[in-house]
Amino acid sequence: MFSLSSKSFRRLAAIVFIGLTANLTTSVVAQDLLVADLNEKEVAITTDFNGADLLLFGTIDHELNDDVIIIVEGPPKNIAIRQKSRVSGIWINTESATLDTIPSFYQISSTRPLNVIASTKTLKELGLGLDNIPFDLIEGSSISGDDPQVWKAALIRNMENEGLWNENSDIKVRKKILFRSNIHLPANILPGEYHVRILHFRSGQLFNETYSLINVQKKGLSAQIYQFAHNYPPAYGMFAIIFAVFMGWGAARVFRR
Amino acid sequence: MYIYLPIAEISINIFLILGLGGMVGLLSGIFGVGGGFLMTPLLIFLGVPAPVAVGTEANQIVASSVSGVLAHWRRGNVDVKMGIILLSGGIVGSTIGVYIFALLREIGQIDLAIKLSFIVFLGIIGSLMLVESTRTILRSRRPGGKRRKLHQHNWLHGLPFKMRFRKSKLYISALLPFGVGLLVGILSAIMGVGGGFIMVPAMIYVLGMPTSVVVGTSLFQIIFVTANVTFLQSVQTQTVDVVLAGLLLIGGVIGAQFGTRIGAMLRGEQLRGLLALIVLAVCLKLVWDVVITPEDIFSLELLR
Repeated sequence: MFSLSSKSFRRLAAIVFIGLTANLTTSVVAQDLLVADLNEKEVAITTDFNGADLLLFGTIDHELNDDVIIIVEGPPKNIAIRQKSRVSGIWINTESATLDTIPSFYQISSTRPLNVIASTKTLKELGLGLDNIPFDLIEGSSISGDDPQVWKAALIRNMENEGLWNENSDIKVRKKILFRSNIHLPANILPGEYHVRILHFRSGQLFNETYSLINVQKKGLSAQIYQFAHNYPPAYGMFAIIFAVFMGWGAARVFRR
Repeated sequence: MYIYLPIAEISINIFLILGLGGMVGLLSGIFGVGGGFLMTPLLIFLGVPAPVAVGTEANQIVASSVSGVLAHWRRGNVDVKMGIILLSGGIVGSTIGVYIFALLREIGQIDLAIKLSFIVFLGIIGSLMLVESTRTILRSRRPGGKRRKLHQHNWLHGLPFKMRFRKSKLYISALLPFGVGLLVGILSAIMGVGGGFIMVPAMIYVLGMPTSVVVGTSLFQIIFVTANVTFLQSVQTQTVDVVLAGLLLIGGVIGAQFGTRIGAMLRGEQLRGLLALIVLAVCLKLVWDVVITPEDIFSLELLR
């Protein structure tokens, strides 16, 4: 028993890896070794912000039928969804519904397509995938006539086009132990807490999970302007006018020479 | 190079914004209009939320009008008395307009209302100006043509509160410019424009002002009306983005300086004919937008 089996070697390598990584969020269950971390946990929306790309990496004890699913969910918001129809030749918003607390950002990445990893029932129970995001109307709002599925499809399509919702199977597992995934936060994300769930699936069942958090905040000049505009609206309005008059006058002077 | 706009909450190419400001500023300087009738739809096309485009445009027009009016002021082309009557109507009108805007936004029809207002006003004014300027150009080419009267007399000139406007060589009821200011003020707030493209023809055809003082006086009153819209939108909807406005006006004031010089070289009727063509082009584009089948009949709005 002096030779290390390949499996225990992998475990040893994983332990060494943990030792090298700071700020770990771990939850070890049974035989599993699911560890994950992000290269950044604070995203600052500053004046030159144009989206952010984060790297999520970690280790699992990867066996033949194992999969990793990573879900990043942004701050929930109510969303108004409107349908146009043609009224005497002109396209007008005629129907509208308001959805209750929909994630303003939702990225789900996995090692294989979701429907290959688990059954439709399991995915539904755990709320995984764009199709399984809760689609609830706020009180007093209703969808008349059309099939709600048409509206749900429209919601998913529009959020995907905005780059706010995304479903992909781009997670790569290296040497049966290391996995990594890119998280792309587009420029139009909202500030707030972004919850990251890392799920380990084994033979189609949830086997282990761990969590992480990304904090997206407005910082610097852009944050100060936003605060000023929302906390002192009349003062901000006066400032905007004085600023404009001064700029206009200054420009005219510069060009008078 | 990208810049994050703090109120619009989007990231946008800084040179795109500067270029857009410069181009619209050039036209604004040539024709003496705020340029909002082009800028507002273009900003919406770039992905700026419609309410932010409207609120921010008002702020930017304050600056471009201040810059533009100074050149006219030095040449004595501002009828201050007429301007004050116009702007008092404009302030009442724009205040009403901001409230109508908020109401339309609540019921989800603001985008359509903006487009339809543009179609109606750009269509009517563009056609009228085109016809009028073409006639004038044709008449001036015919030697010995009948000389036009300064302005036509009709029932509008029978209204009370008559006032003398020396610079405009007019003796008309103060209700007339007040009413014009009021109507343009309402539209100014809803459409995110200075209203110059409506005000200039209204001053020429309704009030009968001489063309030489029209542009300067229009710019003068636009400063105050758009300042009022800027203030009210800041208080009511927090949709004034000073960073976006600042970038647009840097481009805009530079463009406007060149525009004012180009405008001084062209003749009045040519100027009006050219503006009429631009106005009609924007109008047709908007008609196209509301008539063709949209790519997606569904649209979303994130509610705060």
